Amino acid sequence: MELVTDEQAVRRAAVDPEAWVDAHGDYLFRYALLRLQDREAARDAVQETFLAGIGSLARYDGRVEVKHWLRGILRFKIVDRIRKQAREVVIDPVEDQPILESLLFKASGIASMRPDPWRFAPGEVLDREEFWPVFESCLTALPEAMRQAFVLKTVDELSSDEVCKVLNISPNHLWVLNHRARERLKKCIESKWLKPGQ
Amino acid sequence: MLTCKQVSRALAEGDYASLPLGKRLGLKAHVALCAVCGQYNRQLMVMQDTIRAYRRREEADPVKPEALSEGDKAAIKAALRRTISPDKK
Repeated sequence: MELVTDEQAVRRAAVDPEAWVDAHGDYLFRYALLRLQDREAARDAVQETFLAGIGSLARYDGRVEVKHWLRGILRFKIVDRIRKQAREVVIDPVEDQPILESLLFKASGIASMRPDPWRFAPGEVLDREEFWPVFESCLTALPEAMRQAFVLKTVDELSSDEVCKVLNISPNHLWVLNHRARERLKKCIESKWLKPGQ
Repeated sequence: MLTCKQVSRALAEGDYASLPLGKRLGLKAHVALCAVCGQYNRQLMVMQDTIRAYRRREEADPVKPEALSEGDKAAIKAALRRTISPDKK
């Protein structure tokens, strides 16, 4: 197989941008689909990404792989879409108090309930291919606001400030959403992974 | 003295680096001594390990259950062609 350096790839893409679509289209589409949960929106975001990439080709300095450079553009497109969506739909109101199900606090702020430990050794499952469809199905099953808060903050590592601005919510709301997302993910993974026969 | 509420929130935020040294040490001592917060911290770490592994895997993109359709790819390519040379059909 012929090895292609990024510089060559860029030059070729300048002449034949379709090479990008074949090389990175599916990866970018899957990246967008997980975050937007809408095939049409994901496809549009990917198309916008390629167009923006071609438009700013002059600014590409070759320091990161084309794939990562395009993913960087796509991230902006995705966050932008989520921001617009958050302005349109009212995020299911979470009562604005951080009383946490697994960690109930006494008035003094001292926790009175110990969270349940994981019911299997999670470290060992991360190398098992069959774990990931379970994880992904649990992630996508989260209610929308919870999923977006969790993915932006924990998976994509945006700062809390940024996530609050994108989703138009308070820091306290973000903290509650993320806490609930973790709880639900844990419960879901445990119940699906430990189902009889596995 | 930090309460469990403050500790659990600081742990979940994960930005201890930005805390002043005294607070950071207080946090460490609390997590080491308090069974509830210790357990909570272990759970957070498991979740973080899982997410880190998930990111690596997403990046490597080993299984490809979803893809752009050929029609979508053709449409994107056509849009790119129009952008690059708008004069040509």
